[in-house]
Amino acid sequence: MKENETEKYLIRNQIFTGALEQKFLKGYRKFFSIHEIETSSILQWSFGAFLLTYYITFYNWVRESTITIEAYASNKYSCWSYFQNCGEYYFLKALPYGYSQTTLYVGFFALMVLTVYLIWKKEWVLAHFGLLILFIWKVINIFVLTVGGGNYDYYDLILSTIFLFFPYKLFFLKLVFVLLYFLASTIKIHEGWLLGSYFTSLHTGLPIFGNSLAPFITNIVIFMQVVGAWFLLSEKKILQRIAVSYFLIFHLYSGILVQYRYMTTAIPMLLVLFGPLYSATKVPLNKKSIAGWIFILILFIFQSIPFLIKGDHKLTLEGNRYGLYMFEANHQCVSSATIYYKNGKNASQKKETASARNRCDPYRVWFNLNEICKRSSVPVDKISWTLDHSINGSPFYRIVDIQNACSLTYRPFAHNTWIKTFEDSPEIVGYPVKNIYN
Amino acid sequence: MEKLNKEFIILKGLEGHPAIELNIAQKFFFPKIQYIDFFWWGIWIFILIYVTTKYLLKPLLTLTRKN
Repeated sequence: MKENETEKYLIRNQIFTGALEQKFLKGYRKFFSIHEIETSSILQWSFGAFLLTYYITFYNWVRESTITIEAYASNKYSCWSYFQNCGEYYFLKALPYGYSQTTLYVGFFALMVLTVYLIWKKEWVLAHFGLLILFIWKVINIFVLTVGGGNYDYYDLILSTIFLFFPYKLFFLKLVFVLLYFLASTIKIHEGWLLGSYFTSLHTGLPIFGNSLAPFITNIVIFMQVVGAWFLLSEKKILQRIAVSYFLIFHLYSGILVQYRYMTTAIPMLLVLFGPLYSATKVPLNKKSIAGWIFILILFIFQSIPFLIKGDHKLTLEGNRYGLYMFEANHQCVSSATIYYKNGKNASQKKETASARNRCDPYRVWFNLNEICKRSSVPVDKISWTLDHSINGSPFYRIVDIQNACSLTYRPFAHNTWIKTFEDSPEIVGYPVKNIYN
Repeated sequence: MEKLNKEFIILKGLEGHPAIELNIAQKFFFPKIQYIDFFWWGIWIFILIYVTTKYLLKPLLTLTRKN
C-alpha cells in the first residue's frame, strides 16, 4: 500500500497518465532492469559518476569542430576505416560559422540538469531515459561520425552500456571495470613498457620517479593490471583495500600526464564500485545474465583484432583503435607528400609530429590525402607519399613509400600491404630526438 | 650508416638528445626482452584461465550438477 502511494507521486506517473504510456513505462523499467538502480545505492552513485563523464566529454566537444560541415569542407576530419564517407553526414556548424553545434550541446546540458533533478526525485525511469539519450549521441559520435574519440570514451561507453542495458548491473560493472585493466595490459606487453622506453624517450622523462626507475615502475603497472586488478573483487578486505589504494594512486599519478579527462572517468567509478560501499557480489549464472557474459566475450574479441592483423600494430596502427590502446607506444612521425595536379602544378605537404600521443596512423594520413584525390577543386593526377614512423625512441622506419596514394584502398580488418611491417625490413631513415607527451 | 647518424629534428631545442639512449636498467633488461615478453603473456594467459575457471566454469559446473 505504501509502495503504491510512493509510485503515485513519481513524476512519470503524474505526467504520463494514459494507459498506453503507463504500459510503455512499465515495459521500459522492466526491459532495462531499472529496479536494480532503484534498490542499489552503489548504482545510484555510479549514475552520478556517469553523468560527470558525459559532462566533461560534451564540455570538450562543444568547442571542437571535429564533426562539422566546415571540417568536412576543409578536409580536417577523419572517418573510421569501416565507414569512410562519414563526413557526408555532418550537419553541424560550430562557432564562428553557425550556432547549430552549440545549440545542440546546450540542449544536452539542459538534459543533464534535468537528469540530475530526476535523480534527486528518485525518478529512475526518466533519469535512465535522459542518460540513454546522452549515450546514443556519444556512440554515434565516437563510432560513426569520427575516428577521433579518446580511449577514455571507450571506458565511459563500455561501462554505460552495462549500466543502461544489462541485468545484474552491479556485478557486471565491477567485473568489466577490472577486465578493462586486464585488457589494457595487453597493449603494454611491448618494448615501450617492458623497458620503459615510452617514458625515457620523453624529454621530460618518467614523472616523479625519473628515468632510472622507469623499467621497474612500468613492469609494476603491468603486474597490477594483469594480476593486482582482480583483487579489487576480493572478499578479503585488506587485499581489496590495498588494490583500491594502488589504483587510486595510479590514476592520480597518471593524471600528471593525462590530466583530468581520464581521471574523471576512472576515479569516481573506482571509488563508487570498490570504495567504502564495496561488498562482494554473487556471480550470476542464469539466463538473464547471458547478455552480460556475451558482452564480455565481445570485449575480448575487439581487443584481439589488432593482434590478429599481421604486423606490429604499434608501428602500423592497423586495428589499433578497435580495442583499448591508451599508452600503447610513444610515437613520432614525418609524413611527406607531393600532390601532382592535372594542370601541371605541384604542391608539397609535410607534417611532423613530436607528440608521443599523436599516433601517426598511416590510415588517417592516407584518408586526408585520398580526400584531396577525390575532392580537390583542381583535379589531382597523383600524390606521392612517404611516412616515417618511430616508436618508443626507435629509428624512423619508412613504413609507407608510395608513388600514388590516390590508387590505394584501406582494408579495415586486415593488413594493408602498402604499410610496411618490421618483417618487411623497412628502410631506416634517421633517429629521433627525445619528444614531448603532448 | 650515414643515414643512421642523421637525426630527424622534430622539436627545436632538443637537438643532440637521441631518444634511443638506454639507461643502466634498460641496458640490463634489453637482451632479455623476449623472455620478459613471454613471461608476461604466460602470466596473462594463466590469470585468464584461472579467473574464467573460478568465476565462470566452476560455478557453472556446480550448477549443472545440482540440476
